[in-house]
Amino acid sequence: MNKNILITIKKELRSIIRDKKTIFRMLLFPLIIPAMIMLYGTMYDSLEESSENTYKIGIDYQVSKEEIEILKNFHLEYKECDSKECLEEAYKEKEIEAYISYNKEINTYEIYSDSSSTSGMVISSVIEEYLNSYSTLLTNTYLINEKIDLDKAYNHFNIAYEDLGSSNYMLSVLLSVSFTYIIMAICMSTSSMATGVTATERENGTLETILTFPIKKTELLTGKYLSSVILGFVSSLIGLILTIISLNIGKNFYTMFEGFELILSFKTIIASILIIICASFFIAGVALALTSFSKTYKEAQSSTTMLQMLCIVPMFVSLIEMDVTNIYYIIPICNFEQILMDLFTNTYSLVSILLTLASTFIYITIVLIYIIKSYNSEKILFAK
Amino acid sequence: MIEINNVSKKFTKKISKKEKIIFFADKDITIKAKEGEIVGLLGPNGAGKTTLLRMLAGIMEPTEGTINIDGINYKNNSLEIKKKIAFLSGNTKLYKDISPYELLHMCGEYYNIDNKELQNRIQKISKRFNLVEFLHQRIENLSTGQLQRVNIARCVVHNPKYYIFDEATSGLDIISSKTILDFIKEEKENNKCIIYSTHYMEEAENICDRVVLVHKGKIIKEGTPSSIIKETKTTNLRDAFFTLIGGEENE
Repeated sequence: MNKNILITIKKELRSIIRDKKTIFRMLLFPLIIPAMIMLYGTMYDSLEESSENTYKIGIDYQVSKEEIEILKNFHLEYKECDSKECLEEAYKEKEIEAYISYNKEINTYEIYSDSSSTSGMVISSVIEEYLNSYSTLLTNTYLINEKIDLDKAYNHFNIAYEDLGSSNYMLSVLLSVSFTYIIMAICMSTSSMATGVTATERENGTLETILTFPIKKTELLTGKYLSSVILGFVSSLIGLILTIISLNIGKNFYTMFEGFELILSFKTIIASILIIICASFFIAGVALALTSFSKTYKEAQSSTTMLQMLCIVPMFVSLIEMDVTNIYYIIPICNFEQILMDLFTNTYSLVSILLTLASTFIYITIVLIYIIKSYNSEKILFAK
Repeated sequence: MIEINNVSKKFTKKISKKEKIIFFADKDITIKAKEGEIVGLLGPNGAGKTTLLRMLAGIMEPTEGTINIDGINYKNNSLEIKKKIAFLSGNTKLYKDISPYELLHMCGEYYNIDNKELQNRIQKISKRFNLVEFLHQRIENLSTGQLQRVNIARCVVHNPKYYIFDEATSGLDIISSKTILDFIKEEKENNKCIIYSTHYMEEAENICDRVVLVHKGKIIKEGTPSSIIKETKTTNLRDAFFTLIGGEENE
């Protein structure tokens, strides 16, 4: 490689390594990934467990034998009290987690639970189901007593559920968020680097000095660009490694990953590294283009904010469960996240990989033409 | 030898979506400077001195005219010319997160100096400019005076033939200014050529062999300080300048 480019890369990387803020940004997003996977896994498991829990509730009315059976079916353990005040006292003493008070005057069962906690919300819905079942039981008893055929009265039919999805919704969201964070790691580190190598140099007047050195503008630009790419790649590689490790650990610890298989073949790893290299080249180029005419560090930072926001888009796409067609693979940033997810879940196609690589190549070329044109212009010294 | 031949620099400034102003920062400038000579470029702010020196340093290209250094034209071989010059501007700051040693080493690498030779030069330069005690400290921790010495040292590392100083003493205290002025005098003794721009007329009068008075992008007078003072029948360059521009100072 050209000596001047290497000197520039060395200069930029040295400056980054010594800047604690940039190093922190570079590592922040990759480190969030394992924490997030653990958090999602734990949350999912606690929700699963809570559906099988036995809840302690209080009631201020007498229950029939049939009602006792229903309460048992819904895992509801009950404590009988003779007044609402007694129930309130029991709740305060934490003897019960929620309570039902029957208002005879308006024939209403009032449910009291803590809706600010997940368990409170779950208990509330379980109580509602129990009361609905009890209501159905009362209706059925009445109809039977009146010798009315239940099937005819209800026009009964059965409903059967069959899950056609290969994975659960929460897992697919988690995977999407994890891979989006890898792309965000590139974005955060390259934005920071681009801001430093353009606006800060201009603000300090060091760009003027370096342009008097025997170095071509294209060499200077290439050095700055490549150092930005290197930083983005390192950051995303850390993110990728942490994602793979965390997903593998998660598989053994959390029920959410049941039936999930993480593909870790040589082909997948090489392809994913190729994708993050492409993403680093593209995002670093865009960050450099956005900051190339910024007068100050602050201005450059706000220029890259839009790019950082765009990097979150794939995460929202996963939330709405959009059907991914081939066109999606030519949308920059979205395609990187999607193809990474496809690779590790073995749902990729050669066409989608080729579309991602080809479109990225075109975008990088356009961005580079713009940056080279900008750097060859004298305006680069004096900004807008 | 530096030869600036009929150089003009045109700028276009947008004042609104539809309106543009075209103006010349420099118009038809011709200056020659030879080895062992200090040529002062004098004029008020906005006279076109910085633009001219940026063209001379290869940061900008002239709209018209040519700049030759030792017979080499910028258009033909800008990199070869840049190896012969050193540029120091009053606005220049240094990289904060590296040490003076690392800065000098980086500059030397850009000038393609052999590593062994570079080490020797850094050793000599750090002794010459008293950098030894803070050579490996971070630049951000240095005092203004120390920074000034490092800034000059990085200009010397490739042993240039020509120095371009743009308002190098602007905003500096007497001691820091003296460091630069002493350096300029020393380099003149070493047969180096120095192009020195300033708006401090007294400073130029003291150190320049020849001065070029610039106003509104044009040369209004050229000669030795004494000849210009004599010709304008004044007592100093400052008064000479005002005499030459006539009543324009009131504009």
